[in-house]
Amino acid sequence: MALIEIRGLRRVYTQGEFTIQALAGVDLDLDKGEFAALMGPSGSGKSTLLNIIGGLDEPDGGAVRIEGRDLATMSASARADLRRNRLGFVFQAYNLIPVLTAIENAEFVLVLQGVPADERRARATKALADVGLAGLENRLPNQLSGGQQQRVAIARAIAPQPALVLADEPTANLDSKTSHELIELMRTLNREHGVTFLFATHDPHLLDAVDRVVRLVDGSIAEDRTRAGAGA
Amino acid sequence: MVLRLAVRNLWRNTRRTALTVSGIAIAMALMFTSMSIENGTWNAVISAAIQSSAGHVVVQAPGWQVDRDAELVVARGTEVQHALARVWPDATVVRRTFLGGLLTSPTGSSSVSLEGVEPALEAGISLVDDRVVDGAWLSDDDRAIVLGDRLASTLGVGLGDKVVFMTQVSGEDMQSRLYRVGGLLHTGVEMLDSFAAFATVASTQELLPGDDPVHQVAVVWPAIGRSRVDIAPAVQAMDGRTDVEVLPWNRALPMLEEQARLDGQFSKLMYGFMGLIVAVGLLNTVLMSVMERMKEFGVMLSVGMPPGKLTTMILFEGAILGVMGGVGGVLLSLGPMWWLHTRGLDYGELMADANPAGAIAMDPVLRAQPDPSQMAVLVGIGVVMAVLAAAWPARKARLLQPIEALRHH
Repeated sequence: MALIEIRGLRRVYTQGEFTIQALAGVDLDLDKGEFAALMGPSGSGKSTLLNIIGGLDEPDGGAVRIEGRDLATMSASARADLRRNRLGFVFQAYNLIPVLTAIENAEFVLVLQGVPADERRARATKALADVGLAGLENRLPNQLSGGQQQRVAIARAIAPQPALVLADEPTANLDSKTSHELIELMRTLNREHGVTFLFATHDPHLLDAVDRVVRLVDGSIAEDRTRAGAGA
Repeated sequence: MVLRLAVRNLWRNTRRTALTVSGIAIAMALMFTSMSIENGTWNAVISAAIQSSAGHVVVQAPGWQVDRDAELVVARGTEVQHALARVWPDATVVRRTFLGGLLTSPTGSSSVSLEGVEPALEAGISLVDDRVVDGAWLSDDDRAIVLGDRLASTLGVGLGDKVVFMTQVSGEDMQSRLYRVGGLLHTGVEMLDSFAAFATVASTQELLPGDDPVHQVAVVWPAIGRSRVDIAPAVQAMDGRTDVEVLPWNRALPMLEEQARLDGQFSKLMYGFMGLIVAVGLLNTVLMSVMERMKEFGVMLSVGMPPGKLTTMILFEGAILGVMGGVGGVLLSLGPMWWLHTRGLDYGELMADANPAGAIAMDPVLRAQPDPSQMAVLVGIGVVMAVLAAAWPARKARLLQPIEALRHH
């Protein structure tokens, strides 16, 4: 069974008299352990697809199943549970909680999961160490660089050991050196810890690093290409 | 975590939080101070009224409370007084008479209210004797009378001059009694200074029908203020007498209690309006702070925060503002209340017109009396109002769709 199964997914946005077909019948499977990217021009439907997979947005047609569970049959509360327990999110703008320190951001989801304090602190500390932020645990987001903030966001995403990390343009706001370091980091997490990543990106460095590239054009999959040994 | 987030969210915009808390604290401090003055005023007025015009418990003839008819007397007043003194040995038990009539002198006359008192006992519980400005308070001399200074002026009399008190008790013939002015008092209360006179109860009994007649036997505890006393022991001590009734002070002074109650309700209404204004300010603050954090809420919801926790966090923020404002209000009010308690406000000349109890001799310096339990209740109400003010913004956040919130700028 695929980690994610998507069948005939459609999403239409209406703006006044205009309707925009963001997704026009997408079929896609993603297996556990994949390191895959959605690419395509702006408006091609990458972020929309990512948001629907994450249960943040609702489709107008089709089905999304995560670990066999159909999102359409789940209540808002059940989708919140799914996001909390099975998914991790990394956003373009980092989106850390500004009043929490790096380690508190990293353990935020663990708190929501009800993980005991000692255990969650240990897991958050390890996650920060894994992303190269050991020693910066008590810094607030505004005391960190953009790259460091995105590392904290990745630590927050991986600390709960999710089945899948959804990352929307994670390197878009970073310089190329930092971007390269982060791609390496996520690649390592994928290879060594088996974390599944699905990106929405334009970044050619990231596209070079992934095993699979799904190219979207006007809400449809134009190409689905798997490359053995990518990023090695 | 939710509480920690709430505290830090408030801390992140210290200026706004400080201004909001200051607003609540100042409003609370004003309410506490105003309430303590109100408490002090009413306690002083009612205590003075209880001690000089009634008692914590009074024994009177049935109907006298309403009619104030001079013929409605309690017979064998001394017997009643001794019975009550046996029940409450720690209290002061006094006999009184109240007669309306005409006081005449060689040069004038005036209507007057003559109160017959036991001079030494009355001096222990009432402030009237302290207001004697010329001559002396009553002694055992049944010929002496103490007049309000304005009354004396109207009559054109001074110390040692003779005056005649004339009265008619029910259908009896007009009766009169000669007194000699022994003292003049000035209370600042128009009704007392112009129309009041005091003589010994024994001298006035000569004008009343019956055996050892009095209009009132009053039991007073000077130290207990306006507290209420169970009258059951007094009823029992009357041993089934049907010619007397026993009343607690609030029934003996019903107008005063009603006036205090109405005044209290009006104040509550004012405090309610003030609270509402503060709550609207608070609502604005919390709403602004929620609108500013829409995207942040979107992130929290995206990573799986249950909407209920988001609501709780915002309600906590309201509650914390309320608690800080309440505590700040208590701290801010301590200074003014301490000053008003120790120094007091001298109503002086205002007393004549403003005395809510009418003709009562009382200390013109009114002192604030803070009531910690009342303040605690008000802080509690403040916190509840703060939480209610945060409820709408909290609901707004609860209904957020994560994707919409994430798109918020």
